[in-house]
Amino acid sequence: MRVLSLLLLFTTSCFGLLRANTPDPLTDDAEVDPRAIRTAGELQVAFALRFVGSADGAPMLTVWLRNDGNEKIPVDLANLRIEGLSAGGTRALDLVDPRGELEPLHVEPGVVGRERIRLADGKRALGELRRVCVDAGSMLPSAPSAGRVCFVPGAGASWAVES
Amino acid sequence: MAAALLVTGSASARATKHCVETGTVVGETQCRSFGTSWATERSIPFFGGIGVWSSSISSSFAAKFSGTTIAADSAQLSPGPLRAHGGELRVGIQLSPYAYLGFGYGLALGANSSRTIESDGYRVALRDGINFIHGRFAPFVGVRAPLGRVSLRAELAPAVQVQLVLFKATAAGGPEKPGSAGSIGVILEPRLAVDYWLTPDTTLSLWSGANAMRPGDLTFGLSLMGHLRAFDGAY
Repeated sequence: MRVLSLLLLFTTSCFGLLRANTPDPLTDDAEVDPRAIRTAGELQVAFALRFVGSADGAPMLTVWLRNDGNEKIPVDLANLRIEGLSAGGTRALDLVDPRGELEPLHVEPGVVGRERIRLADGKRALGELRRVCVDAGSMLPSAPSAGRVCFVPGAGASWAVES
Repeated sequence: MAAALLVTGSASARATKHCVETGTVVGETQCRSFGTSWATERSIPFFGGIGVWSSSISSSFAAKFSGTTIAADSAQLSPGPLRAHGGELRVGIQLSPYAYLGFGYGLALGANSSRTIESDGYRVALRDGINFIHGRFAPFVGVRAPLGRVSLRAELAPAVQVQLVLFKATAAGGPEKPGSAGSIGVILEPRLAVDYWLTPDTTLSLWSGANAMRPGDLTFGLSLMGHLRAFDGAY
């Protein structure tokens, strides 16, 4: 019985230490601006936007998903609503998904996920964008009012979160 | 999708089957699809682990010994049932959050105290030290009730069971000689288990089972299991 107790204690201690010392990819990631994090129940989502070196100057959206709860949480990135503002007005932007991968999924309990998705615009005028807003709630069937995050062009390739 | 994930070689790439990643952006990635690292649907619901277990069984045996068949019963040789303690491996897959199947392998050794009995002209006793070896290979199928941090399971295991009893026998006036008697058979063991989730992907489980054909033969154990799908898909 004593051996069993020690084994139990050792095991739980190991898991405790492991979890306590595991970096948090959401809050420890320098790319994540705390102002770009939205919380919906046990789920945290964060967004970042930056230009990548593509020919059309398309911004690339990074989405972090973090489930702090014990239940899996549905997300549907294909349904993510993104608006771009340029001199010509406001228009919807699309996510580039040439292989049709985006589909409704569930975020596992206790995990942090990250996806990078390029933005597309039917008018091919992404370089003229002055403001991009991402509606977090549109991808969360369980929290449609999670809020928006807006970005404006910043220094270099980065877009800054609009205060 | 599986075909898309494999790059089997080209003029500019080595002719290997490993995947060559071309980008980190959805639509450009070749080696992993959207959601691979975080979505429940992308995880494979395997589980596996190790544990300790004990068995407590009554066993009768007959052994050829110097041309004579010696019959004995563990109830005569040992003050109680034969006991053994050992380790087990267990792997399986969740068919749904509420049902699973898999198999386990366990080996246990026991050093039981002995009485000396008379049988067929021999004085027979269990050997000193390890005198009972109990092995089993057990496929199992079970159902699970998720109750938050705790889940309850009931499973049925048709197990192939191997038992080996090590004894010593002495003929009148003769030297003591070692002997052994083994048996192999199939038993049907219903089991009950309680899981405690240490983390979303790790459980500590207490389980107990009984031989349906000899309900007095009991097993129980403690297992530490890893699960590739958090909470096996339901909390």
